[in-house]
Amino acid sequence: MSEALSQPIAAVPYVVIEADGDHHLVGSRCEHCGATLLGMRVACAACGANDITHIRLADTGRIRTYSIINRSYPGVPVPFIAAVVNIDGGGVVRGTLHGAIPADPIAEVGRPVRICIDDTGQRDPSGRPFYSHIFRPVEVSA
Amino acid sequence: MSKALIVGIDMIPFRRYPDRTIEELGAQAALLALADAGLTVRDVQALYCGSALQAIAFVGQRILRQIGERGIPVLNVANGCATGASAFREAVLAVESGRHDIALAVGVEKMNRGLIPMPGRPTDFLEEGAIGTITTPSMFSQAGLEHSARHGTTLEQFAKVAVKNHHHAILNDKAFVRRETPLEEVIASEMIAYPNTKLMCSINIDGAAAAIVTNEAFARKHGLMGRAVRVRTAESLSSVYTDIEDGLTDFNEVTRATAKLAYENAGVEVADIDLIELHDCFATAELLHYENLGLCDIGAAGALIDSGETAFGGRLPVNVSGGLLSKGHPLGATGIANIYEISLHLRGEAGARQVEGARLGLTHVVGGMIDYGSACAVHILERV
Repeated sequence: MSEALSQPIAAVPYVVIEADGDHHLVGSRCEHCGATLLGMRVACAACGANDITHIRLADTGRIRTYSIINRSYPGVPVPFIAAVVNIDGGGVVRGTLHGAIPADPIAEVGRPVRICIDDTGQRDPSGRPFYSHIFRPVEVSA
Repeated sequence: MSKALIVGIDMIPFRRYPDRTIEELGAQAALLALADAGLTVRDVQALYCGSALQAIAFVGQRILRQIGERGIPVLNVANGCATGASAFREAVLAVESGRHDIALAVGVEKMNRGLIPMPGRPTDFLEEGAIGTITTPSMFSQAGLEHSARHGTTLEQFAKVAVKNHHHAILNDKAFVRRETPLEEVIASEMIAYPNTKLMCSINIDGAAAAIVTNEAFARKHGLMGRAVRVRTAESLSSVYTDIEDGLTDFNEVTRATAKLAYENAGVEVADIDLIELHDCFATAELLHYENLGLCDIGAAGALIDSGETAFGGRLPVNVSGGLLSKGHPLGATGIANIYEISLHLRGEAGARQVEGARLGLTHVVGGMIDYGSACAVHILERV
């Protein structure tokens, strides 16, 4: 496979693929009200100010809510854990939480996660890999 | 400005109608509403037609092709689960502005079984499962679980919504599901996305509902005041920014804001309301909306369902029709069907499920799509 064909593609617009492998999420910070929004936005959804700076979002956060998805669209493997994560330092993003299905269905709320940009396993028609973020549990030391 | 009046309203039974077209279903509802008012299509000056899934395909015009093409303005409306209520509100605004004397609002939908497909990004990448989820039950499951984590609301409390609403539907022959579902059965049914089991999910179904809206002068002139229902307020809002939106559509804040506007503009308080039809698309949603509509304090919804006060016979019955969980949820028709249910009670025509002495009723719908936003509508209706 040529190098061009193995070059990752961002699966969603708020993932930034860097040539050196330092992939990350991108957000927008409102200079007027301080809101942090996911992705490179036009203006601020919170206050309407047209004073946005694009920023790199952190690669850690905490689970805000989630659900164990037992029924999804045809062909989508289940179960999986769909989660909403509060990103440390600002921003919110949804994604799939990897790891075991929790026995207690609400115990994961507040749990720290690492936001990893990785190969999703999906390929575009030319064979290039789609990369996106996944959440991995962070083991908390006692 | 005089408040608009509903002088005719009806719905077809929500069922699967594989052999009937969307325009046939919408036309039937329109004719039922016209007959209820004692009017004909020749009296109608404008049509507001809601169909969440097919509004781009001239559904309003197709309905008029079935019942009478008389060169009236048609607005085809799509606004998620608030589609029908949004079409109705446009009819109200048209009449209140003085632009039209009689407006027809129709909400209609034909639906496939299974999870509702959501529009995705135009790439070859399949987000579902890889980037969490965008299914409709998952949105309300995550919102419910957040409530559980914060307030201790239990699976049993959410499940009681399905028990209550299915019980209500026994008395509603236009509902699709009409059988008792005991708590154990609700909890034991297939888990779709915790905490919503299959019996805690509304059903994709075919349906249509329609309303005739006019002003008081016209209603008096034509002897239509006898069964009229006054629209005290017709409110609708889209997304109100909250910081969870980039991960999950927020149905709470937009409902709170719309309800606040409705109470203010109607000049009433929640204590004045006699019954409510609210958007129980999933069982978790009903408890959240108890708080969002001000029925109880934040965090107290679990205790409220436990109290029985929102059941038929209770202090403030919610979803006496059986709700979306029992009637089914034909997206575009739902908002007008809710208004139909409240109108029945205000007219004293609800039969065995009549809420005695009902004077004020509230309807609520809210819809949304992950990454896109929300649409909410609240109407407060009054006996004339």
